[in-house]
Amino acid sequence: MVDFVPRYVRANVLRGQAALWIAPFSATAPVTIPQDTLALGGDWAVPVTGNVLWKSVGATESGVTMRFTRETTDITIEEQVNPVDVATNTLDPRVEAVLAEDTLETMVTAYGGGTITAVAKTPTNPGTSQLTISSELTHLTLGMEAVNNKGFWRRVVFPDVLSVAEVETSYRRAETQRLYAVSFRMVNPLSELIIKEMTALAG
Amino acid sequence: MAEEHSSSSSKSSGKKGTRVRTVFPVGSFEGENFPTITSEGTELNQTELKAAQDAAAENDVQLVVEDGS
Repeated sequence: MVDFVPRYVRANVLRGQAALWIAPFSATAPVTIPQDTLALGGDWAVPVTGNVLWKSVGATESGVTMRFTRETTDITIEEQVNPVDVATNTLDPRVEAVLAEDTLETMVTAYGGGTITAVAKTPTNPGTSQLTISSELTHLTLGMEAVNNKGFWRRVVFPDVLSVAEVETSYRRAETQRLYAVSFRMVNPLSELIIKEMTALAG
Repeated sequence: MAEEHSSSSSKSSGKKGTRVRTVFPVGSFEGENFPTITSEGTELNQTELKAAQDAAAENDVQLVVEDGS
């Protein structure tokens, strides 16, 4: 029997986490992908190479999942058993995670939108923050960063997403931490989705 | 793109001019010694700006100085 091994590139088999960043959506002054010179793992919120409006979503229970769901319709004819064409009905790119930092900022993100009003402390009154949930979904810009097969950055930016997850948070003594599921659905045209990676060092 | 920079411009106290905003997702930041600062931006004079920056640091709220001109 012939000892057959298909060709493969071991370095292309990857694992590893992704960092998730969110920023407010603006149609007139969109928050853009960081500059190419910002290193892998760099802070997207730094001025100039990034944008101060980017904010990390913080810890997750089990990492980040990027889901790309395509629903199709088979075009068939009597004369052929398999489809002669497959048409796209819908595309649903989304990013999902379960956030594990229990803060008002996490609640705003998970609940779809709202406003936090922070009041500074005074000599007589403590500082407070109050969250008001909005009934309408708030548009966000979502960024994701991971390492690519060359050891450099791979960045994905969803310019306009809505946070639509069903959120259930258990307050338990010791069973589990408080968790906030998030599911960001992309609502901008597919052509505006950015998936970009660094392939070589400068010079 | 917004850019953070020092607020050491030469404006006189009591005169508005430095535009400050809160960083997403904080919608507004309020206090006794300075006007409410929103995520859209609020103009402060130098005294208000200093008070707001000190209070923001103590309350873990990030402010961005947008325009010192």
